[in-house]
Amino acid sequence: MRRLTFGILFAGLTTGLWAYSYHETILDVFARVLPKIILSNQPSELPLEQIRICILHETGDGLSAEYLSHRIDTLYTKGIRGVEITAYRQRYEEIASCRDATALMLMQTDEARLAEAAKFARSHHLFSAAYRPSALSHGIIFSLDIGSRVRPYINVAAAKESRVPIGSALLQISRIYRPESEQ
Amino acid sequence: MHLLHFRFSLLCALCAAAWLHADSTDNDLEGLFEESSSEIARSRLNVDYTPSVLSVLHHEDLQRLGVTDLFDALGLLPGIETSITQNNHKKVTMRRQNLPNSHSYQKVKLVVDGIGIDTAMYGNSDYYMNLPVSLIKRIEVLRGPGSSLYGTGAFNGVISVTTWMGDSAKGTRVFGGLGSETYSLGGLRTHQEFSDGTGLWLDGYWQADNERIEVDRSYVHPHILDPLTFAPITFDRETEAIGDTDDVSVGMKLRKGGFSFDARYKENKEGNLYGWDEALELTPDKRRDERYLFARLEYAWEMGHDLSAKLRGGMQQYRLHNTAEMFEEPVQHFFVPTDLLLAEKETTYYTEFDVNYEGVKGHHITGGASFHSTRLTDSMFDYRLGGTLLFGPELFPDGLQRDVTSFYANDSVGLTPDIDVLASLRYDYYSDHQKGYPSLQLGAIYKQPDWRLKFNYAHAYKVPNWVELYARIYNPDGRNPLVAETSDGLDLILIYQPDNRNRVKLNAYYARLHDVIDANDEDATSSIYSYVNLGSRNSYGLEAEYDYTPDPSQQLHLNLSYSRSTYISPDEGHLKTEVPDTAKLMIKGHYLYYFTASGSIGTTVRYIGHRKRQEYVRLWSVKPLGSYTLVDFTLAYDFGDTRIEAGIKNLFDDYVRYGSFYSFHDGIPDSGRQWFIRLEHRF
Repeated sequence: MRRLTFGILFAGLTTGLWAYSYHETILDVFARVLPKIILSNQPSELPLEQIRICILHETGDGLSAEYLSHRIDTLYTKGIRGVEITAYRQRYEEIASCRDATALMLMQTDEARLAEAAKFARSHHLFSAAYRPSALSHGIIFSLDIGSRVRPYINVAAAKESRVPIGSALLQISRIYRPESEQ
Repeated sequence: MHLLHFRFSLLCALCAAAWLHADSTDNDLEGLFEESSSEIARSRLNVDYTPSVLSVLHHEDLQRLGVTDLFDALGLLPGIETSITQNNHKKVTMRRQNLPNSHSYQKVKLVVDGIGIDTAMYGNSDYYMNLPVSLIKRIEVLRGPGSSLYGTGAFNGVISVTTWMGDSAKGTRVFGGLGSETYSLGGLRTHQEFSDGTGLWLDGYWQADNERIEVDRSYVHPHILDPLTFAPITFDRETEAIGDTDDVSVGMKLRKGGFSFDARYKENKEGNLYGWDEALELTPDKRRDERYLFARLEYAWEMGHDLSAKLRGGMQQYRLHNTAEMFEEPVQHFFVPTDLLLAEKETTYYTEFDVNYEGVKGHHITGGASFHSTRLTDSMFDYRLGGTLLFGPELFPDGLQRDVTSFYANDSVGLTPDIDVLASLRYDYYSDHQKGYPSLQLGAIYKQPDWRLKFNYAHAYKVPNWVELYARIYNPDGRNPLVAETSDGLDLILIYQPDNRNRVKLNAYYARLHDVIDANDEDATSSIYSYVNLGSRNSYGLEAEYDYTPDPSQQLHLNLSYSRSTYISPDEGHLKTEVPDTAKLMIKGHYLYYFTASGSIGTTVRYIGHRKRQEYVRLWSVKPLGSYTLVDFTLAYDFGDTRIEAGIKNLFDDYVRYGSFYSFHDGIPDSGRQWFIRLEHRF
């Protein structure tokens, strides 16, 4: 035990910046499903010409955000049924640059920034998605529920507040987020 | 002729598969998530939602924790004890299923990129245990019987290694390293995509060391005589065990559309360390040379929205060439050296067909069939005293062949939103036994937001290997009438995850083994024995794991294993005792701290409790093996595209001893403190 304590103490002597950890396969799933989900939500009477996904990240997560952006671009080079798909990344400090986006994709961050991003998405009526399912409790609309199967995880109340439509096909296969107060 | 038919039918089947190919269509949302579910399941990210007891280790964590190779990585997990035998075999003991005085001890199956690394001779795969972490993307370990899912050999566990072959990341990485005992490593892996959609993955490495473990004179026979003149022979080299390693491997994968071709060659040479007899050899250049080659062609295609299939064909070849110096004792306390040459070559051809069906709502059904044919190509057991052949020249009878025909099916069902059930059944028929063996798994998971309860029952079998059945030295009268040993295992697992920071996993297990195959050593002083089916044994225990991630910069993992396991001593008394040479209690943990986005400090701690020795050895004094604690410390830093790792293993230089075949000494000492530096550059 003395030796374990030594190791932990030694390790704890240094502090500094850090990066969140991401799993490549989960980023791949987001890259694949996000554009199609956004498109499936869109009412047929309001067709989209372009889907622009703004990926928000912390400074240390630039590479992971770049990977996600690259995967979306690679998967949807030709768009989907004539709708052009583009993804770009911004740091959380530069969230204002995302006002022209169709959707926000939030990489991991602290609770304050999640709340700020949710507020931004609400005020600009943007679809919001987050890597961590726990972000739904801060007013984010979409994440992934990873269990024995992968399901969409939807915060319907947040979607209503943001005035973002959610397609019935998506709702049918989703797990619906319920705030703790409702459980 | 038989082989020609086999190859022709394989070719026909592959051609037929190509004709059946149909393009997958753009799926709806449900199909999109089904596809994602399969991808997540392949990556084992939903490990808590499978009924089996699974642990997953990822490359990034392993590298930053200073783990060097597959063997080193396995030592981090609960329920697994790693050790080295006296003649330098790396031994992985899962849940204390140990056979201390048998050369045929392996009870787990190793799978590399979906290909079982196995031999009919011993059923062993320890020559793959030094696969460097630089080549490993992920390691999945299933504890407990698993032959219904993984087939023959998965008696008490499965180690599944996924390399970077087939990974989407493009580019080239070169890696190298230096360390104690003149350890050196060099290698590369690369992935290129061509304009026509063909993907090519290549990797290769070499590694070598000059392992020397200093020991006292007790590891040298006191009176050694020349076999011809009976003049005394002086042991005139250092009293050190020599475990020199030279290891090289090259691998490739080529993929275009539904076709893929995988191949890997590995050659591993190791010194005999303490020798077969647990006595230092007079000549230091005796060693074991093992070569393993596999090649596989696979075609995967979609046969509709919910139906997909895979057809595979391949070959595997194993070659062993082991020189050793042993000692005969014609007069008590006087020894004469003998020379042993043990060689074997076996080749397996196989074909496998899998179907995956998800057309029934809530079900995920897979099924398939396979045919494996293994032939002995060459064998030699040349045992000489002063140039005179004492035993040999062949290890096995000519023309040995083992054909295994298998059928399997399993279904994963979502019974209710909270309950998933898995049922799996497999049947393998062995031509040389003229008998079939069933395997079964039944599992259930009850899911709640914060916790999950899993139940798993599995029945597995292990067919005797060729050494146990046919080796002339053990079976001079012909085939040994052994039956397969079987195992029934029960696991009850509770996973509690109140938030994203804390995760607790508790697993209680019980296993009963029947017809256990072990050495029948009626005379403990003799090296000649045979293998027999002994009685039933019980094993039960508890494995606990705790993960704490207070923030993204820190990861703490702790695990504890406590196990009781009965053992039947192979001497004439057949005493039922606690299994020797393995620890009842193990406590392990690791802590990873990122002090910047690029830099990390990793610490691993492994406490292995004391281990009792074999009680049947009454002819010499045997003390229990003391407990030991290994602390490793690693600093890793990314300078742009270059990562440098430096670390110390066994930081406090604890004295590590393992059990051994004859228990002549107070254990087999392992190397002490070691250092290493590794470098990896990405182009």
